[in-house]
Amino acid sequence: MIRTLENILGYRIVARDGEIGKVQDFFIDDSLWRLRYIVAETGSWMSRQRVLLSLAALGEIRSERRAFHVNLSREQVSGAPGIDTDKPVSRQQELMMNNHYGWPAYWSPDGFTISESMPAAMNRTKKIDGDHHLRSFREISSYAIKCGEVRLGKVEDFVFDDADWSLRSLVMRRDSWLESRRIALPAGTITELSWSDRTLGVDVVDSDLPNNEPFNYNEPVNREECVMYFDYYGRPAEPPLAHEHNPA
Amino acid sequence: MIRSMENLIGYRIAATNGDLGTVEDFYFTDDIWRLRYIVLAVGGWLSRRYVLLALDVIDGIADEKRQLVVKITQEAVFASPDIDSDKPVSRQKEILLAEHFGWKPYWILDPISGMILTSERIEIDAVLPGMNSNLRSFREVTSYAAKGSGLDCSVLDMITDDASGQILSFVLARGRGPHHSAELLPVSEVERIDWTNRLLHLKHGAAKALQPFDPVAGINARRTARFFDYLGNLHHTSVLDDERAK
Repeated sequence: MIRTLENILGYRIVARDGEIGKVQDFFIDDSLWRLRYIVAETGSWMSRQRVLLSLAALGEIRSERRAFHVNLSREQVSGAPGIDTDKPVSRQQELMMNNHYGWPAYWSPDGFTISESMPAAMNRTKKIDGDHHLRSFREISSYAIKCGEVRLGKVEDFVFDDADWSLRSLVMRRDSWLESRRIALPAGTITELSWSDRTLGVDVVDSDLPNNEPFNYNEPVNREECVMYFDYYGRPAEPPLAHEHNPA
Repeated sequence: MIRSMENLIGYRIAATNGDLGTVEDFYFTDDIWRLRYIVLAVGGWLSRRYVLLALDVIDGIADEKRQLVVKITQEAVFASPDIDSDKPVSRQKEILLAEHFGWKPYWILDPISGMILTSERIEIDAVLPGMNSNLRSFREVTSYAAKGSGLDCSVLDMITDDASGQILSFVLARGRGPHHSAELLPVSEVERIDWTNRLLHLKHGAAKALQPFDPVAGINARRTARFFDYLGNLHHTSVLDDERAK
């Protein structure tokens, strides 16, 4: 399903044996523009702790209950190495976490997000190994969007495909409020992310922007097909067994 | 969708601009076993009257709200004299009344036009010229007994396909009292309906055609597409097609 990140902030995180906390932030790999981790806020207000959860641990997302289900136990999460999420995450910290949970490393050949584009990405990550490559969603979502030196607007949200957690598009809020305020820019238009200037560089010409469709959160972009069964009274029913003869 | 007619009794009828009333009864023809009209009760208990709606006006059935959605306006129903009748009197009820009081039947049909020749108390008949000889009330039939082929049952319900209005089977109660079992019998096994004796005459092999009736069986398969927005919220659901479950 294609969905925006901002809305997922605050979802409850439900482990196999109960709730463990809330979604506080996300970490995005800016070399591939993929979502890598969920930052979970756990514990009570007395002992608040932030832990990183790999998307490999993610089970079902239940939008109607605003809940993420994860394939972990509460104990596993509470025993995790603490992470200071205000700082960029280093590869060493990731290794410690992977050892704790037994997660596959996504930067190794048997990792869970290996794709065709991976060898190239691996070369890149090797070069920047030990470097900071994960960005906080909350951090980026206040950045300005620029094309060259021209400011177009600011980052408002990101659209991800939860099948592989790759970035589909970037939702930009325009500065001018005569034109439609929100516009989606395809992920391919992103050229650079500048940490120090707090800007996101895109390859879009300002005059092209009015041609883009305004972005609407309530657009029905996801389609799911299913077969539902009903009984003689129009009530939802169990699917009939294959061997059962239909009398009606 | 294949459904129980008994269950539809009491559904609210939603016109395009508001509520119309409740489903009171159905009229069907027993020659080709088709549902023809919905009998709808409108107004309060003091000013209650009945209206017939042809099946084509049905737009959809919302079971979760027990609602029948129709493609007509409230005004069309309340104002239209054509489909309005103060009191529907089904022919079989009239037979009973006539027998009880020793009346001479008035519903002699003109053999050529099929029109009714007398004009007393025939509000419904006037609405349905030529067709009324086959029109039967569902509520009436569900109080009948069913006999033949060694069976002695009573009619509980009827099963129809709401896409075509075709009536598929009767639900019969076999045995009496709390120990009865509900069974399905295809309409093809009914020889005829005997309106004077309030009886279904069953064909010879009817007993063999009986099937147990399982009210919670998932007999309807509905392919649906659900659409979600960027926030994961359900935007709308659309029915792709309805078919009978295999």
